Amino acid sequence: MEAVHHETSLLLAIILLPMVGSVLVGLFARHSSERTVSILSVGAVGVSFVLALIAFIRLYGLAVGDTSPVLVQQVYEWFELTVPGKGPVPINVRFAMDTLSGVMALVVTGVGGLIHLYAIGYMHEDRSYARFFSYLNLFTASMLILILASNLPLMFVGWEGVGLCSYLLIGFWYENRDYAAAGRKAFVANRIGDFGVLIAMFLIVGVAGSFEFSDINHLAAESAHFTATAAGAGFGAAFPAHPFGLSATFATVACLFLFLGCTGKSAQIPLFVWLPDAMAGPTPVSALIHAATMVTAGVYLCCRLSPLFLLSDVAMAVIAVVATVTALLAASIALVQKEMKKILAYSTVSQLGFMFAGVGVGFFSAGFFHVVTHAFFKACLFLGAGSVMHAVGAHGDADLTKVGGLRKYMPITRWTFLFACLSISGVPLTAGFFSKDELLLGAATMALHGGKTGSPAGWFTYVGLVLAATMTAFYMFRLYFLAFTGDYQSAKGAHDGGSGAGHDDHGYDPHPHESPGSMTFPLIVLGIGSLIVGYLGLPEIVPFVHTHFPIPNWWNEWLGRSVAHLPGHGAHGEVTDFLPSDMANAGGLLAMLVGIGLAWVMYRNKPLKEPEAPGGFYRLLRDKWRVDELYDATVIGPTKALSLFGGRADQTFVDGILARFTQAAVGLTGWVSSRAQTGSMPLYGMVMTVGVLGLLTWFVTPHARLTIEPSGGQTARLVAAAGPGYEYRWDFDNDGRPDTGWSRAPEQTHTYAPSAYEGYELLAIYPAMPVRGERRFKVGDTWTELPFDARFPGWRTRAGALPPTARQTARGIELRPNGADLRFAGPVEDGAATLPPRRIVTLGGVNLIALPKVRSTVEVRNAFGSVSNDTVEVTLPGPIQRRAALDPAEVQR
Amino acid sequence: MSTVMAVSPFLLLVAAGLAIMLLDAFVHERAELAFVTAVSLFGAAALAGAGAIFGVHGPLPSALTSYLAIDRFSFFFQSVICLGGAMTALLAGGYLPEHRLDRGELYVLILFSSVGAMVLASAANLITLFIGIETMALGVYAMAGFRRTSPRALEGAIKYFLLGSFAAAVLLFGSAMLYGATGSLDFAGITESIRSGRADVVMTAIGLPLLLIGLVFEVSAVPFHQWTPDVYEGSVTPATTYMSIAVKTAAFAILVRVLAVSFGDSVSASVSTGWPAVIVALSILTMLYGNFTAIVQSNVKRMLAYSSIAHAGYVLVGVAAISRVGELAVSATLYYLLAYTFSNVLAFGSLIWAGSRGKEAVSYDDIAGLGRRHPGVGLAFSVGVLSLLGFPPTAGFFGKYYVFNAAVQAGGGFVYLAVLGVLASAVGAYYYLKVIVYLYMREPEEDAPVAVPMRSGYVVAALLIAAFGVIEFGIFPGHYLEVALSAAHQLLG
Repeated sequence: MEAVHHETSLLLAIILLPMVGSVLVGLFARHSSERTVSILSVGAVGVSFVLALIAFIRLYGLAVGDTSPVLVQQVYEWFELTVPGKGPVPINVRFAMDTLSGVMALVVTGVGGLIHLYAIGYMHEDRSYARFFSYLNLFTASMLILILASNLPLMFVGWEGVGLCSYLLIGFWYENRDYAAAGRKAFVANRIGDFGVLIAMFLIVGVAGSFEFSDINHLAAESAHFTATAAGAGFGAAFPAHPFGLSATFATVACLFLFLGCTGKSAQIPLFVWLPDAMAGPTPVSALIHAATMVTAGVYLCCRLSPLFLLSDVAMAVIAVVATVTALLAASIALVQKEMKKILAYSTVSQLGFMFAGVGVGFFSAGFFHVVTHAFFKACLFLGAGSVMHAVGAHGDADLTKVGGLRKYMPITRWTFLFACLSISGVPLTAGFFSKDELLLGAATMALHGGKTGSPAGWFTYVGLVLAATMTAFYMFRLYFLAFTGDYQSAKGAHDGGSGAGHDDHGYDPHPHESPGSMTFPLIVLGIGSLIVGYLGLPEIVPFVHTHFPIPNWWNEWLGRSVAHLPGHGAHGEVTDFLPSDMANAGGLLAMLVGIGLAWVMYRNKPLKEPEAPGGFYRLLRDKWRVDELYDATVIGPTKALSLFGGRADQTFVDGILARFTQAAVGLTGWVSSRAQTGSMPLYGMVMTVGVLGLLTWFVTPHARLTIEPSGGQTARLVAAAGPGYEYRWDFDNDGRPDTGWSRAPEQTHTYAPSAYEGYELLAIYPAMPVRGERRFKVGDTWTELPFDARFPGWRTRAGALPPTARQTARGIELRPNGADLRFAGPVEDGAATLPPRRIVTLGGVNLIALPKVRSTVEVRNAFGSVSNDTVEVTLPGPIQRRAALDPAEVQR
Repeated sequence: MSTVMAVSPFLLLVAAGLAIMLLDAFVHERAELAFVTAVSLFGAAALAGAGAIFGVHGPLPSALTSYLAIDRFSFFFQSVICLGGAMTALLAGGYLPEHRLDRGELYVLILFSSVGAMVLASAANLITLFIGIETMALGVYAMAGFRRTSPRALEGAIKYFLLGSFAAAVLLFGSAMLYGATGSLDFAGITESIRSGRADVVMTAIGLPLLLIGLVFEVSAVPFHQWTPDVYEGSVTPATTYMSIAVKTAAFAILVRVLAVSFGDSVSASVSTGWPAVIVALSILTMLYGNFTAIVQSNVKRMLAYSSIAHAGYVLVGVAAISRVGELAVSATLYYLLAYTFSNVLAFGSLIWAGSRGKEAVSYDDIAGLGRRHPGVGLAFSVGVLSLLGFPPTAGFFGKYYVFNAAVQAGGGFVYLAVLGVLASAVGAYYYLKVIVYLYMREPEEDAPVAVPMRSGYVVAALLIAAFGVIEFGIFPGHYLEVALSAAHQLLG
């Protein structure tokens, strides 16, 4: 679909509002009342949401027929980059809203606004209330830059901005060392990923010659089309690549580097370890940044550049497999944790794995659908957990052994939490059901039809996702039953007079209460959203009923305007095969039933009992597969050891020797040059005089500079650098006797006689496979081996034969084939043939020519009568026509 | 364009200069003179800037054109010189009263030197060139010795005067040779004579280097630089600021005009036989010498003096590249000088701001911990040195980017020149960041006298303007580069 651009001026305002809010709150409202701060920051995001909504409605209105509308706002061009071979590449401050970023902008400002609202109640009476809201607004602005940027560098500004805000907010209570450490861990993990994004960015601009997403995607789509056409025409792999296109190899490398960035930002293996620790931040932060928005930036980036990813089967397979493993690993860890936010954190990692699995199987819009539904139910879950913590007075995290039965105390939290649990578990007709169904459909399609990733990866993804979905349903309802059913554990502890939880330094409030309105309102909205947003992407096929609905899948059609899709799947693909869809439905329903059923049996109305002597596997799960320990042992430990060693080496070698040497050298240079600064006028005058003389010398002496350009055959053009009033005299054969008189012409054309040859160079022309091209060899006066590749046909005919050797003589190059095929129309004496200059002979499969070298001298005389000269050697080229067919009678051995 | 309009910036400044000489006798608060000076210089900058942005339309006054070049290029430089002068006047308005040097001459000197610098930058004739350079220099010599009670200032002034006379004599001799060689005094005639080959080769070959020496002396290129540290250190800081920006800018303007236009033909600008080799050599020497010597300084003002030598080296990279990529290199040079003017005002101005009566901030120790005690000074100083270092997104980054980009586009050996320039900038990071280290990470020694920032609206105003420029040129470099490009286009077209 051709993108149609429409100018707008709304986009900048959408971004600037929270940005200005952040600056106002952070710099000028630090000592204002909570009320002022709340109005400023929540208002900024609220208005931003309204503007985003207006832009989205305009976009919706424009999206008629087969167009894919894009609202663009070119703010200005920052500067131009000169990329070799591509001309100037502008780096624009340019925003664009298409159907993909439009949805994301609504989620960020909408869900983000609700979380801002929630934070008013949650952060009430915090010492750094204004700082919190300033960061939160800054985050919203950065996230909006990330998604609305129309090019990679600007997107990277947002990418780094959200990383910074994440760091600031995880360590928000930085007095606690652990929290500060968690922030640092997140930052370091993200830096590794950012490095990948940067590399990918430079790779892409070097090959595509543009930073703009639209250009990159256009080029990628064209390359894919070209390859498909070529394959269709029966050329296969031999067909040359699109002259300006992107090769699959390039796409693989670029996409894997991009995915490295995504594993950092979106917490996938191997960089996911920071996300669970990131829950040290205030709960609204966990909900906004570490569940709903920032962590989905990786999925967004993949969707944004979907045509590029589709070019590389390898990258897609890697993404699908890594994502599935992440989903399984994180879900298994969540099974046995006993803190609410910890479970939700691993659940987020796992759900992000689901989204990337969608990307990896080429169902980008399905992956992104899950981003949106997940934003609702996961934000709702986090805020629900926050509400619980607020109610019971827990800090940091809520321990499931100390709560329970909360449905009696906080009905709103309970119901909304239940809604979100139903949704994430994939109970039919909730939002999570539809999005998970699409993902499973993608995996099943891959498994059955091969597609881009090939069947094994498809089966792995499908089975992995079903298993992970089972675990998801289980741990979510385990969490729900433990928190909201049964009896309230801390109440008991309090009645027991301090024997239970009472002795704990943060024993929970024995009388939990429902949270204030500013907190329950977002919960209600998000809870209802968790149930209904799925209807945006109602599948074309209703489960188990093989009828084709007349309504197409709105979501896929909408996103299909911006996001690429696999051939055969997409907005208007006819569904002819119902099997994948049945597999998806069956797998999803089974997972949901088994998971919820087990949780019902094991945890409903029961307090959490940790096994007395936990088994090995249970312990392994509880210790989070000991990934942190693994990294400590394999990466961090050695890195630390290396840095210790490096530190030592640095101290002794770099600081001790190199630095001291450099320091001494610099110091000496500086000292010498500052010694010259004696303050004495005669010295200053003398230095200036030296300068004057230096400049005068340059201008009054002639500068001879000769270049010789062979112009075919034995003729060459000789050009001497022109200078003011220069006269030239030429000695073409370099025999010391000038061949011409003085003249003003700086150019000469000369035809060299064989008597002028000063030596020979051997030119080898490889005619065909395995190597095509030319190479030049220097041949010495003694016999030297020719460093040819032995793979050429007819190379060595006898076992143990020596490789061919050659040497220079006055007549040409003497060649000993040493048993290799030599086709040469001349005498062979003593096993050696003398190659006359500029004639082709064939040795094995290689054509050889002895090229003559000549040397010429130019003398330059300037107006002052001074003379200077320059001598240049050049190799004359071989005959223009390539090897003609030789008479077989000429073949000699 | 009428004659009056063409020379309106000059007229405004001369009138202001005369008026201030009169006013000086009557006002009590000399700082008010700073205000008047700055306003008239900003006014002249606006007039000239309009000429640079909107171009020159209609027939040019023929009485002027053989003496003064009336084009976007000269208007651009007039504007930069006036902006630099205006900010210097504001700095002086705070500095002089604080240090009890409150005499009105400095403002008059700034105004008349600026007129000289503008004449130099717009010269279309060897005579105009000489008059411009001498008008500018005489004012600057007097500025250097402004603090009459200080032996260092007088020593610096005398040195500057003697070496400057040497350079002027060389320049005059070179001009005479060129006149003899070509029979013309105006650049158009010289250009025509050289391009047609009628010029005498021997006299041109002697005249051109001598003329060059007279000009590179003013930009303090090595080995014609030795007056710089002594004079810069001895002078009152506003005068130092003025020398490091306006004088250099004017000298670079005429250097570019002479080399790019009069000697821009393929023989004179041949990389193997002509002036580019000389400029490259000067550039290498200047970048290396400036940066390495700046490292060992313990005095911030002296460090900034060497830093200004190093910057002359970077600009020379752009000048050398003119021989290959004319418009690109000329526009890069223009942009660099604009960016450098604002960055240097910010750095020197912060140094002025950091000190007060009886305790001027000069050494690194004087500014230890200043950033924590006085965040405003620290921030201004940091932005200033970061821009001089070429840290994005400041003006200095794009100055360096454009100049080195021009060298890379020029290809051949110029690529190595650009690489050397980048490496030299990396060396520069050492002493620029040292300022930030002292501002924020060092504490003054126990019972050492602590520099207390002065309180002056003038200084703050100058720094705000300079900081605005540094950020503006870094975030919206495109607009200003376009102006520079059209100036370059008109110069070479």
